[in-house]
Amino acid sequence: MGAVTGYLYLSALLFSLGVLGVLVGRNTIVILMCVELMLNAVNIAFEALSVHFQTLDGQIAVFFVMSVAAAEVAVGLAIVITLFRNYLSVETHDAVTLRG
Amino acid sequence: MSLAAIIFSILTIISSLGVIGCANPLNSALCLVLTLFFVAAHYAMMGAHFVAAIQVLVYAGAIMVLVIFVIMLLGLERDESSSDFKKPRNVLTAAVIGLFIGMLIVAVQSGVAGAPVDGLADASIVNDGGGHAIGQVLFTRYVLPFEITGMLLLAAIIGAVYIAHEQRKPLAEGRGLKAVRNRE
Amino acid sequence: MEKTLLLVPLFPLVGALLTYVISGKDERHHRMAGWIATFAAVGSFILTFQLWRALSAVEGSVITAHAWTWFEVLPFKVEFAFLFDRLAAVMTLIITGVGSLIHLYAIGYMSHDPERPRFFAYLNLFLFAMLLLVLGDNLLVMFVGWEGVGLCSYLLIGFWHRDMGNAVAGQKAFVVNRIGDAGFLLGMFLLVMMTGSLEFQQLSQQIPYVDPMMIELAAILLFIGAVGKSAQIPLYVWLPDAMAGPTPVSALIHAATMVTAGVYMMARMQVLYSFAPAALSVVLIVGTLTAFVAATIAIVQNDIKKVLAYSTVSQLGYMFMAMGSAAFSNGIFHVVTHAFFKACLFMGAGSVIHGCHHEQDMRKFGGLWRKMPLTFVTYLISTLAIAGFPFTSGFFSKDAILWTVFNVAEDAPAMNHTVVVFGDIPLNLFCWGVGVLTALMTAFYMTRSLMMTFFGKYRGHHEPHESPMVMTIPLMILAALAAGFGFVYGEAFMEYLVGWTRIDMQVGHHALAEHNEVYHTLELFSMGVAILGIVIGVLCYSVCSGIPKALVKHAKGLHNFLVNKWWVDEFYQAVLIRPLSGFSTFLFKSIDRVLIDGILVNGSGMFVEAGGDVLRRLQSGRTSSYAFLMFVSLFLLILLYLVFMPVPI
Repeated sequence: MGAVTGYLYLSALLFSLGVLGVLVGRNTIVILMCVELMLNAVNIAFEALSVHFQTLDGQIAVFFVMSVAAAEVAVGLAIVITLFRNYLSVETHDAVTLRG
Repeated sequence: MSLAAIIFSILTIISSLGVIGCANPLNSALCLVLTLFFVAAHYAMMGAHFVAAIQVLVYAGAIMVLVIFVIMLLGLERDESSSDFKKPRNVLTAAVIGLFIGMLIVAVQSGVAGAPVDGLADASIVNDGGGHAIGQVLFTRYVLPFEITGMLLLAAIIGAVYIAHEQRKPLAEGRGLKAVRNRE
Repeated sequence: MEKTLLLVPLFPLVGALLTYVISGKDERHHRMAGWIATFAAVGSFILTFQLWRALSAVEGSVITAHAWTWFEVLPFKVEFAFLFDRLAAVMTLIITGVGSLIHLYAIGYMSHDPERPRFFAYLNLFLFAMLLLVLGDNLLVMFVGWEGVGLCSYLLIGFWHRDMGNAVAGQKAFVVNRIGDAGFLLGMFLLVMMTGSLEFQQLSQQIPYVDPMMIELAAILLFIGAVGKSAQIPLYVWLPDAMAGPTPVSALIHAATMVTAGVYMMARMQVLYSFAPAALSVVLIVGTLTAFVAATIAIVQNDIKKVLAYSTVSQLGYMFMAMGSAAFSNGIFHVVTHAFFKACLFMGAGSVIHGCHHEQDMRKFGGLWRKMPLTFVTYLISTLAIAGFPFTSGFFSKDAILWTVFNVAEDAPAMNHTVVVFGDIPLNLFCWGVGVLTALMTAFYMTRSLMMTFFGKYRGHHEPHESPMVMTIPLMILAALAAGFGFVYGEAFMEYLVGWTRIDMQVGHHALAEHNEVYHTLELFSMGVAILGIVIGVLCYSVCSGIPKALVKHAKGLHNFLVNKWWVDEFYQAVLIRPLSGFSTFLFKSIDRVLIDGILVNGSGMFVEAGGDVLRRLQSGRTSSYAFLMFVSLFLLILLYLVFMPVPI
């Protein structure tokens, strides 16, 4: 199999594992980390295709994804801290007050 | 795909399994750091040394440190109500994810990605591992997204500070985990 | 002149408003109510008189007035316009003239009633509607008036509405009227379909070219409307009940004007009816039967107003007999004379009732000729008129009708009375015979009411007194007209009306011009019948007072049958009203309650509630569930993309 295909498989697998982690996770911070995992999977795909097509656009995309990921983590952790303050827990099943 | 790439891929997958499967959130964080290192290794093997360096510096170095900070700060420990994968909900989710992976594999197979199955070109276009070229492009063609990202970071900083600002009020009666647990 | 014509119906309309507004303010102003209304009516009469003078000045002219275009659905157009020709002139003079007299009378009759303003406002409103009816130049404006008088009739019959019986009577009048109106509407629709217009002048031109079947059908449908409004069989049942209203109402509406609307309609639609011989036969039969049946019931009534009510139905039957013989002006002549003597009779009865402190049962009257001489004289004259005593106006009009019925086969080639009854007798002879018998009965029962009321010994408990001048002056005027109009103006009147259209002439002219032996014989015969009836009545109720009682005893079954009005009301109740009512209740229980309330309204509410209950579970509050749903959607989207939009390699 070609290298690009291999990297795409890897990216797909990592992404799916990230999604699984988000859906199954019970600790909010773990969920946040799985989101990072998904972003990294996407980065791998971008980078592999960028190198394959001999263009820099993919690498720039990687750059920006990383920056945005950083910003997102910062805000996300702030939210986690606030969550912890209100519920004294970051477990997802403890924050169900918006029940219908 | 070279042997090294395959080995590193397997390692990446194993460590990401660790991220989602560890009971202790600190262990999950450390597994994630490991995963990020392996991903950086992939970048390096592809010839994008600059991006690899940035990955380690920013992602593993800054972001994950922040996460670990918060984990330690909140004193999160191994939690009792384990998210064990034997719960029916989780089995269903895993099954759906499995289907998802299958679909993606089929997609890649059928060439939807549009990439002809080919060998990886060498890194010759990215002269010095990419730094020089990236810099050129970044500040000419992509200067607008660059600046906006700057603004985004500013907004994130301000937002994070504001959200996490210490509340003056103590935890009142009727708030907190006990109250929540009692309500149920 | 056009403006004057527009003002004629406008006066009573404004009068109604003013009456209610001005005199309704407080007790002191109530006194003005009657006077305002009467002035409006008299004003209308004066204007009508002027119009009539203008009309007569020019031979063969008509006066028209156009108010506005009502609606236009091309090519069909309806104008709100008025037509004043000879027929309209006659009707309008009667309506405003007799109407004014009755307004004057009502001032006295209702002088103690605290709700006078409302009464006089309604009375004026009625005049307005009636004027619309006769002045309209197309069927639709006439129909507006038609419905308007029905409404006013309802309002006035149920005027003392706190008594449930009166309200029910008013409702009965309105509902029965409505049944007839359905026929009227269908007739109008048919005419529009066939000719594209409802204007009388246009219809007169176009009807000869319409399919004869359609003409017959339209004629019968319009007649159904007349049956309702003019109280013929089978829709007459409301008129006796309508006596629940104040007596001026009975005089105006149920004697002189509203009930003659059907007759007027037929006169207006002469052209239509002269091309519909089968319909005319129906009209003749219905009129004859009605006249007969009503007279039989009137014989045994004890309430003086009920006698007069059935008498009205009977006389209306006569009018339709005339119409059914295509003698349209004879019918109108009888309308005019009937207006005079019947209004006088009703007002006289009202005077008696008023004088005897609202007693209406004739068995409690008696010997009133001494106490109420003016009322007595006027009532006597009018009774003679209605009985057809020689040389009274009633004699002339009734005689003319009987003559045309007798003669119709010869005189009207357009009429094909090939209908025979009882084997060999042609229809018109049969109807003539029944008409003569009814005339006998009419003379008898009217004399009976006269004798029971004014002669003999007073059998009541009150102190009877004569009525004030406001009430007796109209009585005297009308009595004079009832006595003399026929003799003095009869021929001129017939000429006047007959000259109006060509169709009438065939029959009407013969009614007057053919003074041959047959005519004279029949004339003498009618006189004899009238006098015979009167004499029998006088004898039975003064000298040989045993005879009526003996008759009642021997013919108990027949008497019972008549007293119960041929059980018609009960028949309607059992056959029509009860099943309909039951059906309606059934519909209410099943469709209204179960289907609409239960399934549709409550059901849809419950469905939404239940649906909400179910869908509520989606909002579990658990973020992982939400994320899962998002992921599934994403999955499906990618799947769809892959299936439907593969990128070529």
